[in-house]
Amino acid sequence: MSRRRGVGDRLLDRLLPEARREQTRVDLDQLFSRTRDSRGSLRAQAEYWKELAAVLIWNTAGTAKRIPADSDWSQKLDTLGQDVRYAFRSLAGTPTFTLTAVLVLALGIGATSSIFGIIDATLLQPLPFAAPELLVAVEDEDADTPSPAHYTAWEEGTQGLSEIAAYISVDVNLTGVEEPLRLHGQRVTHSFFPLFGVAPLAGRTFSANEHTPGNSDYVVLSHGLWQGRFGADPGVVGRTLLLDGVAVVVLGVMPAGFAFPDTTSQLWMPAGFGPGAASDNNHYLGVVGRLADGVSAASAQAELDALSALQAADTGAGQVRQTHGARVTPLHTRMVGEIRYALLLVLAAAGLVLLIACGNVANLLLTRASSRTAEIALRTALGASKGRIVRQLLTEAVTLAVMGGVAGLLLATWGMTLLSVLVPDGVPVAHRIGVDARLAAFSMLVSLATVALFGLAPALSAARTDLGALINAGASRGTGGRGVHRLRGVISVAEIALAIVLLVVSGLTMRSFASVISKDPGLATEGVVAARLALTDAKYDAPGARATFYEEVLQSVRAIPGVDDAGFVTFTPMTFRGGSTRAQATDRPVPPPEETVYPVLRVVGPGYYETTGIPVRGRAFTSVDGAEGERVAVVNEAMVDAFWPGEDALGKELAFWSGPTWRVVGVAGNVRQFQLEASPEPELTVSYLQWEGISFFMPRDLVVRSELDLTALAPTLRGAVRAVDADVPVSWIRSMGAIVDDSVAGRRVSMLLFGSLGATSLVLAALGIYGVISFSVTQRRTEIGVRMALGAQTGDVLRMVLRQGALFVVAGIAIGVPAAIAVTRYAETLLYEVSPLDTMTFLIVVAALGGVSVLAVLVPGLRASRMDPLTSLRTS
Amino acid sequence: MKGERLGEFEEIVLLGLRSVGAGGSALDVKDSLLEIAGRNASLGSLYNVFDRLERKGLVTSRVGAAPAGGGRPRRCYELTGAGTRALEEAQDVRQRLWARG
Repeated sequence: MSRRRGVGDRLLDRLLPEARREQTRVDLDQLFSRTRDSRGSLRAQAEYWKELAAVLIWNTAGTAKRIPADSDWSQKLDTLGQDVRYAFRSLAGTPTFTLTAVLVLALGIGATSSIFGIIDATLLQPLPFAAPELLVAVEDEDADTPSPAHYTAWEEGTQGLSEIAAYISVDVNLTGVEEPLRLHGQRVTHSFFPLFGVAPLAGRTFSANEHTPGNSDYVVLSHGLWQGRFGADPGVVGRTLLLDGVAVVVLGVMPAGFAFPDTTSQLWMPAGFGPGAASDNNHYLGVVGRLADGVSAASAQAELDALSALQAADTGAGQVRQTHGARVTPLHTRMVGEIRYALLLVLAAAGLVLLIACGNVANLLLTRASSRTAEIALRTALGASKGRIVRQLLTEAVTLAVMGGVAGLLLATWGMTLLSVLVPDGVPVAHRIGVDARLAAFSMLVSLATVALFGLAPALSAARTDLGALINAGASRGTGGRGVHRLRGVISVAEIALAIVLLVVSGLTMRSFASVISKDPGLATEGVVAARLALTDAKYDAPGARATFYEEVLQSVRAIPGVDDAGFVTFTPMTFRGGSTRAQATDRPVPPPEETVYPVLRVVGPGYYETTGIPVRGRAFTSVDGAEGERVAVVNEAMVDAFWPGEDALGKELAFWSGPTWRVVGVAGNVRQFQLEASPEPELTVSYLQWEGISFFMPRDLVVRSELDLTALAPTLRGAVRAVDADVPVSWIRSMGAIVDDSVAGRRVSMLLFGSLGATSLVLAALGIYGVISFSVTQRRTEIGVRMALGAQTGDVLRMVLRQGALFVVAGIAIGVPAAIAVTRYAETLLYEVSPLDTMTFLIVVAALGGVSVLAVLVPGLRASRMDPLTSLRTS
Repeated sequence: MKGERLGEFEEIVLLGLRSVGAGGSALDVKDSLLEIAGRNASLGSLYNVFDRLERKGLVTSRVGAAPAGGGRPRRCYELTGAGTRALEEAQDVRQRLWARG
């Protein structure tokens, strides 16, 4: 019932004019419930869909029918109707041919359309904001996030931007509700919402008033959060929520579809810059702007550059970082920039599959046209003009195209669900991905173009049939002529060549994937679970408060039966790169700024290394390394290589910006901090019992080693944390294995994508060569019969057919391999530790394609060699 | 197109609407056609004919009140004066033709 409602309603919404929708919905629902009561739900379903289909068809027919009765048009429509009816009858008469052709078309069109759908939604459609072409992303010159100092200078001085706004990603805990909740959102300046020109759905957004100190406890909710957490209650505006323990008032709700800077943002709160604003040390802002009338991105950039330079001169020396200029990029480009290339590559691959599919359909049509020579000759003899016959054949082709297009569109709806994984959260257009009129039009257009192009040649060649020659030959079935035969061979060779290109690319992505997952993450993936607990600054501000919380949670977690060990860390490896710090080896001279290495800093505690299985030479942290003890650090091997190359780091000393020195007591194995395919970076860990720096680095992730599975462990973990503080939400409970898997998710998708396109091309190419050889065997039945009657052995016949097939395959390989060599370098960005000219991949592809082709040729070959010469002579 | 004359299906639909009375929905007419004439018309074809009849001024439609038992309001159709006259005229023509035979 719900499924019927869902799909049916969506069809209604898409395909019916608004005036008709509600009526249809009410009538259909009534019909459904009535039929269900009297004749059962199955019957009701059938009735519902039948009536729905009729409504949709009549709706189209109703619009098409309003053409004056006795016009030229009407006559033309009549003939067209005749042709279409005839086409349907003749296609229905050869179901195998029809089904094969439609399936092949559907594969090609489905692949291309689903990728077009993604590209349309991300690259072609404008962003869902007012005058989106004027929106720009503003960054520091080196693509870094600007500092508040820069932002303030720009905001005060800019003329080229009519509006400028900043945002900072923020995570808050929603408490005072049944289950405390972790929410992701943004702190934004008051110019943020006006800049996008999107009005709130309810209530209002921020004004400058809500950004004054002491009056900033307000929040605007996203549509998703409003629906999911507040039941779409319009009364939520004006209500007070507890966020991070602070009472804030809900000012408004944004409409569905407003997402910035990413689709995961659930709320927006006012941002004010504290006393640190003047400093240029911290770069953490996202900045967007709107170009003023007639100003280009380049001139806005020049202006912001100048403002940055002025600001740098103002603050003077002693800066930690060199001040950078600005970089202004159109917002759309900035957001889709990274996936643009990958999407275009996939589209190119899908285009190749479509080409191969086209070749197959052309071959099928040629074969069909040849076998219908007699029928066509008869119709010509009875007075049908050549034009009429070409039109008839073309109508058939177009009918096929429409069927293939519809089937392809169905495939595309499924394919797009798969593909949307490729679009990162950061692209706010992702929610619009789906089948719409544009996509349907695209599929139909491609389908029609395909068949018009590839149906025309067979139609023309069939119409060219020489009647006299055919009658003289006395053949009941035509041979199609040498020209057609050659054309079929050429198409088949082209298909094999294209398939090689696709297979090589998919082979390379597969080898890249294999090479990535063979990397050692550096920690145990089995039996380790990570969870995120976030402590609010307000509640855990007091010195030692966090450490006490950690110790209490560890105590209760370690007491859970089945748990071996547990520990805390700033961020679990591979979930977030984490922050870095400047550290200095005390026995070395201070390196020049450009050679300074900033190691990743993680604050961990006792039990972390033991739990994650990261090997430590020397020792890891214990509870003895407390506030009173000597400051100790554990560094990884990459850091040893960077700081003390060739030396033993144990016992060395480190200093941060200021404060005490830290003694290295352990050297840990390298861990891939960010992604399986990114090399380990220098990393430095210290204990939370000794860390007195900013709270950003304090642990938020709990890691647990246990033999329990995730489902059994999750509730007990939550319980253990709740026992210590019921207001701390536990989120993101995942096994280490899943985290590592996730870090290769994108690569897995691209492997699957290219892999399935490659496999499709292989099947299509094999089908193509099978069709050609098989048809040629049928055509040469008489010849084979005569040869066998004259003493040719089965082996001779088999060899003859195989030789013909081998010729196609070898020609295809001879063209395909150089083509692949020329093409694969464009796919280099997709590869990992595999050369685009990887010999092994090329060899495997050629062998696979050769093998499959031999099979495809063997079937008709064996059939030919087993022919009974008498029968084959008699039937011809 | 048949100008202002009634097509066969149009006539049957008008008669069906007449039999269910003013305020009948397309679904009611569908039921009555099945019951009286044994003709299973699809909702789609009925919508289409009603659109045409409405353009010709033979019926009017409006969204009715929500049904008493709950549920959403339906679109209801009603014969206009011209519609009634068209039906009478068609009946007249038929009767005269029958009388000849």
